[in-house]
Formats: sequence, C-alpha cells, structure tokens
Amino acid sequence: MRKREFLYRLDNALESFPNAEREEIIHYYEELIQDALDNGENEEAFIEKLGSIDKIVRTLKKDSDFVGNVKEKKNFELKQTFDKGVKILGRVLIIGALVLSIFFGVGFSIFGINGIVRSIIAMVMTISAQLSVSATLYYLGNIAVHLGILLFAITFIWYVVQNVGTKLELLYEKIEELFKKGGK
Amino acid sequence: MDAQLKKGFLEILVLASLKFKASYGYKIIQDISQVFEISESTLYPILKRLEAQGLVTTYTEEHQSRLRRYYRITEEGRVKLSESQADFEEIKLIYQYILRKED
Repeated sequence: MRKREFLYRLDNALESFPNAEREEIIHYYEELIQDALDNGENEEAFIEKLGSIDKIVRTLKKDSDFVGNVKEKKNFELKQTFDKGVKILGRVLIIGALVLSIFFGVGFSIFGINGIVRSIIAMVMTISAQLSVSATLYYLGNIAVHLGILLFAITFIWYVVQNVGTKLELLYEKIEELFKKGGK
Repeated sequence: MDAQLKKGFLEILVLASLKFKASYGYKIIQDISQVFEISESTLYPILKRLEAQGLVTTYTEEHQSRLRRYYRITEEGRVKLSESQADFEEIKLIYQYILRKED
C-alpha cells in the first residue's frame, strides 16, 4: 500500500473519532511515513510494518478512553483545589466580618458607657453650684443618647454572637456559591 | 519480553528518549528501537497518554516545508523519570528473588 491509500483508508476508519483527534492521528502517520521516506526507507515495506488499519484503530480506541479518563481526573483535581481555595477565602471573610463586628460593638459600648459616666460626673459636680433646668435637661439628654448607643451596641454584639453559628454559615455558603459561579 | 511487562516499560522509555532533547515520532522510535522493540502504532497512544498526564508537551516546527510535531519532556515528566530509579531498585530485588538458587 502506498502512503496516500493508507492515509485515506485510515481516515475512513477513524470516522467515529472526534474531528480534532482524527486530524491529529492522520497527521502523526503522515509525518511518520514522510520521515521514514526521507530516511531512505521503502514506502510499501514501511507501511506494511505499521500493521493493519483495523488493529491501529482498535489500539487507538482503547487508549482514547484512557486519555479521556485522565483528563476527567485532572478536571476533578482542579475543581477540588478550587473548592479548597473558595473555602479558605470564605473562612477568612467570615472571620474578618466577625472581628469587625465585635470591634464596632465594643467600640460603641465604650463610647456609650463613657458618655453616661461623663454626664453623671458633670451633673454631680455642678449640683453643689446649683444645677439649672436647662443644664439638667442637657445632661439627662446626654445620658439618654449614650444609653441608647450602649444598648444598641450590646444588642449588636448579642446578635452577632447569637448568629455566628447559623447566619454566618449561611453567608459563607452564599459567598461560596458566588465564587463558584464566578469560577464557572 | 512479557507483553504486560513491556507495556509498563514503554511509557517510561518514551519519556527517557526525551530526556536530553525534544524529539519527534520517527526519531523516538528509532532511538528506542536500539534497546527495546516498539512499533509505530503503539507510540502514538503512548505519546497521547504522556501528554494527557502532563508529562510531555508538544509543539510544531517547520521541517523541509512541512510541519513536524515535537515532544518535549516537562518538569513533571522529569520527576516521573527520576521515580523510575526507585522502581529499578525494586525490580532488581524482585528478580534477585525470582532467579534465586537453592542453597
């Protein structure tokens, strides 16, 4: 068999293969035969040596399954690495949010307590020097505002602590979902 | 050599043929044939396997106004190759056992 006939028959026998793979195989054999000819080998003898087209196709079929499996495995590994990355990122974000929440909560609490204590001290100090009605109202108002801030801060901390388990886990899942969508 | 045993060797043998220099189908067969029988039709699937596993990469270069596909070993491929050193030690022990004489 000559080169052209061999390649033509092989191409027909590879009908069931994806086009890209088919072309690659044909190119492989074309190159091989040409290199053999350039090296002074006898065309028909070399093609004879390649074996029957049936056998070639059978070997290729067996192996394209293997290659497919390896590729799938690689994708799987890649996906696992990606998932791990997303998980770590999610945890970091949650811990960051938690630290920030507690920081704000504690900050507001201190601000509130500080305001209340200052107002009381100021009231007590001015009592001896006769406290005017407007001054009393001012201080009481001040206390009320700071008490409000304190209560808000305590509630905030309480909320954060209470929801660490559920809400943040949910948030984490949402973040994970978002990144997974981004990954695809 | 036993066919099963041969199959295991071929992949590593093809990798070894790329150890020092990138090469192409016909040349790889010629090189390996010096030490081990390999047919043209078995080489292609082996190259595809090696490529799928990331042990070799390919590139195309023009040669006498036609394209020739070259295969180059990757770092992973080199690691795999160096691992075969350990296999060799193991195989040596196995054969010492297989071929042992009664004392």
